[in-house]
Amino acid sequence: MQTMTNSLKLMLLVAVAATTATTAQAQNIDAAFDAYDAKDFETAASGFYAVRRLSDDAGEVAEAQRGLARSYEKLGLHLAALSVWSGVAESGNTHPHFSVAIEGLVNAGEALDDDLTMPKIIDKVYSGPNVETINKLNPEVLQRVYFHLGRYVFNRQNFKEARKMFKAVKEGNPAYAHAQYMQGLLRLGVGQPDRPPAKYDLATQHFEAARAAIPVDTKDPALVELRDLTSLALARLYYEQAFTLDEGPGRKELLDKAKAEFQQVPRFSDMWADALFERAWANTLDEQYGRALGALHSLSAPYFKDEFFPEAKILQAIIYWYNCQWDRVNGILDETRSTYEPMAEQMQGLAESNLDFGEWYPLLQKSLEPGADPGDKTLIPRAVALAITKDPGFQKMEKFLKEIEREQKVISKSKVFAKSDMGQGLSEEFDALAQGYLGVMGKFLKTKVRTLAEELASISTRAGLIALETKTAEADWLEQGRAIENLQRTRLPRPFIPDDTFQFWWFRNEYWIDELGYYEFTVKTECFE
Amino acid sequence: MKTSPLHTTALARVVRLVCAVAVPLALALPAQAQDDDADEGAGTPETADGDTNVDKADGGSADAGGDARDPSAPKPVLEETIFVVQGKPFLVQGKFELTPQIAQSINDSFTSHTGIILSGLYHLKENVAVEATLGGFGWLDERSGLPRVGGRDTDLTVELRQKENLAPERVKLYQFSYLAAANLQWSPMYGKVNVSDFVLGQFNLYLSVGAGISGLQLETLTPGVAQQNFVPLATPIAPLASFGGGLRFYFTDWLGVRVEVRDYVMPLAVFQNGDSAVEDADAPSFDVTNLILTQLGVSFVF
Repeated sequence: MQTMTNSLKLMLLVAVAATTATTAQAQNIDAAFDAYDAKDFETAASGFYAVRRLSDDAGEVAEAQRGLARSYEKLGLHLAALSVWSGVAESGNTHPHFSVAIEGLVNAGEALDDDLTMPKIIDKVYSGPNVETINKLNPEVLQRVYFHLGRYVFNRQNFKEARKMFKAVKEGNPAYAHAQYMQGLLRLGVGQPDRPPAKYDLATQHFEAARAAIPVDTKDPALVELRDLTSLALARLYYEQAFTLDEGPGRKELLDKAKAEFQQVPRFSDMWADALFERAWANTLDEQYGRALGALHSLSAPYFKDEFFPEAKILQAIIYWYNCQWDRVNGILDETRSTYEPMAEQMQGLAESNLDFGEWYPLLQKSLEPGADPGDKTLIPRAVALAITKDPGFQKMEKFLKEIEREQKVISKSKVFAKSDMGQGLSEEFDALAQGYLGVMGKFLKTKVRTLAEELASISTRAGLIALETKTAEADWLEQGRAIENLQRTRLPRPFIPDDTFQFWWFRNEYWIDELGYYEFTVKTECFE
Repeated sequence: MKTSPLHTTALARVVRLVCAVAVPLALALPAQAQDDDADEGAGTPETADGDTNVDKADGGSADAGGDARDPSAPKPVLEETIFVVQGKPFLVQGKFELTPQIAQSINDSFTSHTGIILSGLYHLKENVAVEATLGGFGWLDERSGLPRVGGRDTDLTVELRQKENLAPERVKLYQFSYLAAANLQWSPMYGKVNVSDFVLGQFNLYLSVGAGISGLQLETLTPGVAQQNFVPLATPIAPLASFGGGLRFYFTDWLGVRVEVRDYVMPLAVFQNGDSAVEDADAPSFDVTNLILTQLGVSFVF
């Protein structure tokens, strides 16, 4: 009897405790909602976090997840929001906020410029019964989902599926211009191992549609970048077509178009250096050697000191070779080999070293330090390290890593977060994320260093080939009694000035910022029939 | 980084200048101009560094006979011929420019003029403009503490009057209260300037010619006392011709500074008799007066 009484008491106590706990959780979530409504998002986030962790009520947890993600969004903690939305999305369409989570994921991913994590999660959840739910999303959101999915499968070389996804993005959607650009790349066969024949006309249409969809006065950096990318893509497309043609009006017309597109890339934009370098190739093919050398000359200005175009030396040598200026060819080739051969060896050594992936990013940072010893073979050559930091893929990764650090700082500085267990939890979560991401970056950097080492080795090889051709030509000249050394050259006439809307200045070993991109050499052929 | 400023060697201040008349001439005869350049190269084979070198007889090929070269022969020229070919910046063509200026006379021994001039220009072309100018002169009378309109006697004139009881020819004591003129401006030279990569701007040198009127004042002839009252003049206005030149520098496409020297030339007389007689004239005197003003102002282009 006594035992029974005790049991009843225990049950009663448990029931009371349970009721009290439920009431406390309900009060907590109410308090969190109140804080959210009062725009005290830190307190709200802290409250939602506690409910999500402690509540046994699935409905309440779902509400807390949504409230937490929304609070993070309001606080500008997109990475934290991405993490919460990912959890909801991965629960599947049975979660009451699944659709909201998909939209939240896309928003957070776009805010972070993340084309790695967010598309991967969406691809993961875009299966089974979830597909039907996702397809019922607001068309604007759904098309953005398609775009991200398309880019994800494009990177995984599922080009057919990618095209289907990009085609589903309609005009007027924020992702339309991006999707058109990607379709253009697909039409050209970019990244496709089987190298299907390029469909130039269709690609041109897609690129032009992409450019037309970007407002002229846009300030959106992503759209501005896309516009420049589109101009570069069109220029490359015209150049590639011209390259396959024999000399004639058709080729000339395409080269003119290519050059015009290269000039569409604004001066001082991120892609200007690429446009200048590639324009030099187009000018070379068009036999406008003075302009080609002028474009390369711009790249040697202090303004471009952080740019890395080792191939520029090869192009210079080729231009002088075409003009039979053997002494200049030899000078450039000697410089090229003495500069890049040791660099290639050093990088090859690094690529073959046993560095952990996690050690590569610190190595890059160390290589970029102002006091770094240029002769230290354990570092990445400074010019290469700078070139890597300009790689768009690397820039995205670094931006993501810095966002992790930023959000960690925001959380550690918040007094509200410090009082709750959320701060500790998030901090640990971010530590793990940063560590994992360093590994991803390390893998990328190692591959990049290896690729660049191979490119530099290839440049040395090409320099050797040109040197061989030059020696043959020199021997031929000597046989014919022509001089190949100690040549005297005078200053030559200025290049053609189109009309009185143009002006010209001498270049006197002094780079002026307003003149970059406008240099022209006067090159006189020294060949003889 | 890409945003870092461009270095321009050790030069702190560098200027590039072009004579505007040279370009149209060169364009009119491009082929000839290029030949001339080539000839120039042949005649004075100057490298980009200014070294003098023996010219190659035929720029199109190296000479076969060049093998047996004198060891003391000049070193090979590897520097390239490099030009900058860029579109002209059309900053002001078809635009208005308003320039408030301060002005100070610089040449007159007996009177001095300080004033404010407002100049409005319309640029017909990048290097041709029409200008309307309106200015007034004034000074602060320290004895009365009041501002006065017109010019003033110089210290020399005051000293001559007060200590020596002397005075220059009366006509040389005319003072000017205001001036209004219309001018035509022409910029024969333009250029650009780069100061330590901090300032990069355009400038032009201009010449100006025009005509207008000036308001006249003449002090009464009171020995020993200066800066008194003015005699009534039958025609208190004088026609003028203006000649000038200056330098205009634009920091941006809407803001610049301008400094110029302008000579306002006026035929002036003090008559003893006739309709234009000055009532206290002691002797007739005539002069072609040059009021030379230095003017400094800020230009607003719109």
